[in-house]
Amino acid sequence: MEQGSVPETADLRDQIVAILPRLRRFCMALARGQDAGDDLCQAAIERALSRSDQFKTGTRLDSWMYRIAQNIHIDQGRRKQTRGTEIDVDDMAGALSGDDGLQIVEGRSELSRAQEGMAALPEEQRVLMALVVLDGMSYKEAAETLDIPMGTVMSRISRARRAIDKHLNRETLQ
Amino acid sequence: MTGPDNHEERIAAFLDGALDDAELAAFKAELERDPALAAEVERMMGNDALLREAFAGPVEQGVDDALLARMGLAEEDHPAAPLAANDNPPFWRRWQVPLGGAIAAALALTLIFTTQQGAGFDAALDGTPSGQIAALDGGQELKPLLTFRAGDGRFCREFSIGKDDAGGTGIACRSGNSWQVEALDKGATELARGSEIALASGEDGAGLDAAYERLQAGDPLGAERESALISGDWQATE
Repeated sequence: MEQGSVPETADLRDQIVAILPRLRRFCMALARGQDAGDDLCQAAIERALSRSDQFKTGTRLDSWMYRIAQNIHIDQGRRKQTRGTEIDVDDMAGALSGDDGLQIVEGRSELSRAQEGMAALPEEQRVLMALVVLDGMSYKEAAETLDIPMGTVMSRISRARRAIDKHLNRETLQ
Repeated sequence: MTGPDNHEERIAAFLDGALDDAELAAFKAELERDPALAAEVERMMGNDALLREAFAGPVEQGVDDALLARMGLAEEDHPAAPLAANDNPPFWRRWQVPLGGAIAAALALTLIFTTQQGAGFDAALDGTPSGQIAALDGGQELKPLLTFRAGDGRFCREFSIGKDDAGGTGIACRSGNSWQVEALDKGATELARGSEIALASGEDGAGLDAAYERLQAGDPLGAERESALISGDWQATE
């Protein structure tokens, strides 16, 4: 991104389009499903465009957008909790494979198991897996994006990987 | 900064390219003599690859008008946009991975190009699936980003190189049994000009877009096809 003045909304729009596939993937991981992820993504884009004056050129748009999406996601989670409809991770996991409502049966594909593994992670680990493993950010970039220490990134990532490993290789590991 | 302080963290830091040179060397030595650790690392790499594939949908789908409309990004809602409404960018623009640290990239590339003639660079491009990281000599890392076929039939890969936030991107095509660098991003090109690295004729330093045009790049190959090429020594089967 070039250094310079505050971007026009149209410029920002173009820049968001350029990162849209990655933003959608991030939201999909965060919201535990592609449909819910797209809703989150759309809300994040709307908020970003309405607050384009808050984006500092010369900083990373992807990090800014990811933060917006995460804030909206956290707000939504809080609202759901106060309404007493906290999301059950196991229910959500079923929705991920796209066959909502169906019982997860034996022989489900490895890919849906991987999605379930992510869905079952605590929020703060899942967001880091999305940034580092899916998006390829360095620990430093992830730490800056989430405004947390590098050591925290490292420990959360390692715990998340261990949990994913257990989820995916239960049989092998016993 | 705090280094990794337990078994799990070291493996994770290795996979994520977060070990410093000394840590990396020590870890590699340990991998050599500890088959259990090597197996664990390999399993973890497999897990990561599976995760990437499980969440690849949005990236594989790219961007079309329907999606833009759904996301509130339709061109007509933003009339001041400089692109024409139907000017769907070619895949390499849609797929481009923004990389920070372009300046630091130049530094990282110095090391890469001095070792490039060695087998490490070729082996990394030969055997690493897109999205995964291969360690190169000198503590640098190479990550293939995507694979495509050029108009002349060669298989080519866009890759990023560097470490941490020092990164740059380039394109290399498989010619004979080795990979020829066809393009590097701007900082890298400047740097390569001053070195003994031979760029393909026609390399014009205008960034990767120009190279994609010149190579008449086809759409990126899917993970399955790519993996068949990797296991089949990059021989075209069709």
